[in-house]
Amino acid sequence: MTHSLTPTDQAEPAVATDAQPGRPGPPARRAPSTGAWGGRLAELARGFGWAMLGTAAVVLLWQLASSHSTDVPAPLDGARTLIDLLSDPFYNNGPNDQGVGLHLGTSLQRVFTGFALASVVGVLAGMLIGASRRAWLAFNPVIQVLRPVSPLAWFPIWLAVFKDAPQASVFVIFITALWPTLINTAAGAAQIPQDHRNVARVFRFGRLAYMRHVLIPNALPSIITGLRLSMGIAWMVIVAVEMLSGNSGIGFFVWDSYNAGDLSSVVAAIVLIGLVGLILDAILVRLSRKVAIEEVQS
Amino acid sequence: MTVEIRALHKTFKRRGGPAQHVLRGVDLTVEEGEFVSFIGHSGCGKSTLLNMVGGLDRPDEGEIVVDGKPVTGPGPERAMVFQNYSLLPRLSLLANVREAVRAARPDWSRAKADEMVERYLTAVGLWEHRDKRPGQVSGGMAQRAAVARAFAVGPRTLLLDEPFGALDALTRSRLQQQLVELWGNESETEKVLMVTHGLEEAILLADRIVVMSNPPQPSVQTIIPVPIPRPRDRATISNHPEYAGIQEELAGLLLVDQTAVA
Repeated sequence: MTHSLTPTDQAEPAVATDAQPGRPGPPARRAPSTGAWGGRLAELARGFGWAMLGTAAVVLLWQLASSHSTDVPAPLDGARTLIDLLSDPFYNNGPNDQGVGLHLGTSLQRVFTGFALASVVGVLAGMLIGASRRAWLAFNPVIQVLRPVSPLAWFPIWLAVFKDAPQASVFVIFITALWPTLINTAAGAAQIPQDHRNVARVFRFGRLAYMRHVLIPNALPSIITGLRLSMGIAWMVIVAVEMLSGNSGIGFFVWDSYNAGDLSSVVAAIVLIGLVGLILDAILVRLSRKVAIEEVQS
Repeated sequence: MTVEIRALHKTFKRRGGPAQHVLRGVDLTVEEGEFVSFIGHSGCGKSTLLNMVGGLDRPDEGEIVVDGKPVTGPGPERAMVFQNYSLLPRLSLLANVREAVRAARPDWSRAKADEMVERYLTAVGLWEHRDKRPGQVSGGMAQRAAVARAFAVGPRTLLLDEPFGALDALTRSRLQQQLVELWGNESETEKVLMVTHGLEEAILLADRIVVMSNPPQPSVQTIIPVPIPRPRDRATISNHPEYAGIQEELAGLLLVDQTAVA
């Protein structure tokens, strides 16, 4: 089951800078909006209406499916459990009985730690590999071999290293978040416009000035694309790794609920995981928009 | 102090294709205080020649000696102005010039560097706009910043690759004026090598015009002196008795060559 979590949407270096992963825009509107406030509101309302309709359709299908099975919880059961879980998300009756909010918090903490580590290592190593042809030739084969491996395969290694399951899960997230950041950073750093290189050469930019004024500004959009991919995959993988590591986290909550025969809690957790993932992505989208706007202005 | 170009050959080798001669046996000496224009059709190797003087490109054969030193790589003593401005987009105009000066002249004090930055940004009329980014200003202003950047590092030789090609006629003539003033009066710059497409521009600015020939023998075809005294004025220069003759000769050379290629 876990192998299905192999990150498949890592962008290849060649296309990475243009990649806008995971968020397809809607097909073009047939008529442009009128631009007036009323027009915009109507647009929003229309969007909301369609979203409700689509959700209702999915829920209806789910209802039909669940009505043929005694095991699959119906939408209403899921919703009831969700409300129930959210009514007291932070209760703590010892390590084996905690609120879903605490589990989510634990998972977020692990994801952030692993992600932060991976960002530092990935960006630095990516810049080195992108900027130096020799480093690229030396490390690219290793990266290409390791990249398609499910980060969960690293779990036993980290467990042996740290003798601590939670810490091992943080480092699984580190591996998860490392490759997209590293590869995209390298791609960005490798695509410095010839003009900028020429300027740096003619005016004898030192290493630091080159990094500050040429390398980092040019690589920044791809770095952020990489970070966003990394965060998305990290949030997926944390659930799986916590199913393995046990004890705490939203993945553990899901697995624990299954073991207790409480599938409506699993359903509720899926909705929660999705919403948190959406928020995480939205934060990084905002960041990339900010960079993109600066890009246009400059 | 001179720029000496001796027996320069350059060939681009394309994988699977025939070797393409870009320059075959170029010999040329640019004297101290001289402004030389290079003119010729696309593909005649004039930009390649300039890049090799700048040290961005290496010749296959021959050598280039600038101020007694063989060229082995790029450097601020041969500052360049590129056709597409080549400013760093995230830095303000001021920072573009300042960072180049600081990097290129570590021997200067901060005060001296800042003074040069201010002097040349002022000279090209950009001091008030110094905090704008390249994307926020017109092409003409961007190119003026690039000219200021090149002068501000105090180069003995200035290399210009079609610097005004992308600008409208009015902006171009103003910039040509500024360029000549900077070169003539205010700077330590002695020699200017400029690649251009414009006949009028070449005559207005240059002491000598190097006409390059097309493949299969891309090299120096003719060198035409421009014995029109300075200061030259673009409005009246065409009245000079030499002007029409030079223009005709240039046009003839370029036109004949074009039909030969076509």
